Amino acid sequence: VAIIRYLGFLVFFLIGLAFAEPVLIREFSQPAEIKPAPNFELPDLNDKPFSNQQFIGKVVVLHIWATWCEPCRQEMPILEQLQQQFPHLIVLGIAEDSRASVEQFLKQTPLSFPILIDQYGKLLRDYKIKGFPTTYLIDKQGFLAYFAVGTIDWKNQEIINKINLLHK
Amino acid sequence: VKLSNKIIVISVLAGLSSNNSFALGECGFACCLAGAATSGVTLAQNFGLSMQYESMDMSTIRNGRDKISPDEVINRHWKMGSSYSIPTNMKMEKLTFIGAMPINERWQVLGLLPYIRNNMDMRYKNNMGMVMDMKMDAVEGVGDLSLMSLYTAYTDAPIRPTERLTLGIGVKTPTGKNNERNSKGTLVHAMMQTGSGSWDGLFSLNYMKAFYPLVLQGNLFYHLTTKGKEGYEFGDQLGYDLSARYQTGDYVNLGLEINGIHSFKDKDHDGKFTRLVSMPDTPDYTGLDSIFLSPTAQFKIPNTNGSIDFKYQRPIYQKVNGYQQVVDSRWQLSVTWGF
Repeated sequence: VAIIRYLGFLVFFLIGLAFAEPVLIREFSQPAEIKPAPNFELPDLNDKPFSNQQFIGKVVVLHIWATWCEPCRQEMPILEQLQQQFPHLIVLGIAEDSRASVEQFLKQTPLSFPILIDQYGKLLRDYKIKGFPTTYLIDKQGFLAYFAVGTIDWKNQEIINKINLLHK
Repeated sequence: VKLSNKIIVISVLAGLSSNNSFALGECGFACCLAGAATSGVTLAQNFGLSMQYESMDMSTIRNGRDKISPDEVINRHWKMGSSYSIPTNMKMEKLTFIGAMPINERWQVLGLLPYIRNNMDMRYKNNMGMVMDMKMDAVEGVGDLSLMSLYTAYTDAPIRPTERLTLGIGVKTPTGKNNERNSKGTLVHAMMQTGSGSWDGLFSLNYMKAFYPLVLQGNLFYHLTTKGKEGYEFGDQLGYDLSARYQTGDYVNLGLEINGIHSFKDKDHDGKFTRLVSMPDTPDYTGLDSIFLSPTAQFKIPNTNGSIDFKYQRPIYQKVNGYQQVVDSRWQLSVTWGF
């Protein structure tokens, strides 16, 4: 009976784990030092080059992700909603992944914002990425303003306020 | 000595290249920690360190492909009025410290410094026909430092790639001692020395194709040797490996490798190491073909950038020039840490 009870508990625990919602981040962190965002120039899926320099004067959401990261996959449609809600924002998805995997993902989850391919991981190194997803907010002057490692609650008012503050 | 140096370089290349199967693809429900250096050769952000212990046992003697007993080898070579000696058992141990430093996203430099300890038991038949077993003093010390640079010629993704081609070029320096003498003042066998005394070229090519959770790899390695300080030149070596690794969980990879080696004959230019009354001191009895079957296991230490690798090798094919003592088994244990 005790074994059945423990097994039952384990089954419920595992089912609960499977349906568990990701812990959402409701606050950005500030970088230890204020510095310009490291330069990058990366192609999108059509080989069109994108550089951070071309977005000086605009607020950029730099989202580093990969298709094999389940929380990243879940966050992408929410980022699409964010882009629709704030058309003045520049949302860039940086895929630390193969072109083929990203193309396959986009067939199921179409996105209007650019997805750039960091094929050899230059941005990964330059930005010292330790986890996925990682999101940077880059201000109009091209400085790294905020960052977060993990899935962000983009509907949280604190987060929205920070974006609006950067936009002013 | 040179053989095991080369095997270490190969296993490091293979190890670094195959770590990508750990790339934490099935990340947790919070955020996915990239686990930088354990995710593959293109991902080490700062540097990685590895400590590898290797133990190699040799007791079988072969003539061509055939096994032959030590006494039979002696009987075939010994002549009245002369002596003959053969190794009966050899154990080679090596502790190698390996450092890996990325230069940029496509170049990485490796440094390998081994500490070697070689033991040999011998059987000796003197000019009177008496047979004696002897134990040689262990030869130990720092071996030859190798430096290798790896270039990612192609990868389809920086982490968890499905296809990658890596080229390597390097040099083996003569930091190990190659003029160790025994208590009688005679030079110890060339293969027992901790160094070769030569500056050698190292070339590698690694191709990886992944069908996650299965990762397949092919390696080619060429060791271009030169004449050592004491005039002894080990034969060039060509290594070829095929490996399959299966990611059985977030923290365990199991694999199977086939490791092949073709060694060319050695040359003793100044004749300092040649003694035709001793099997291991006969340059004609060098050069071989070996193929090993090697099960491997890799364990990632949870929530760290560390991993532990184990590899066991058994020969499935050996063909030698003349008479040579061959490897019966070899195992390696390494601990790798990314920073």
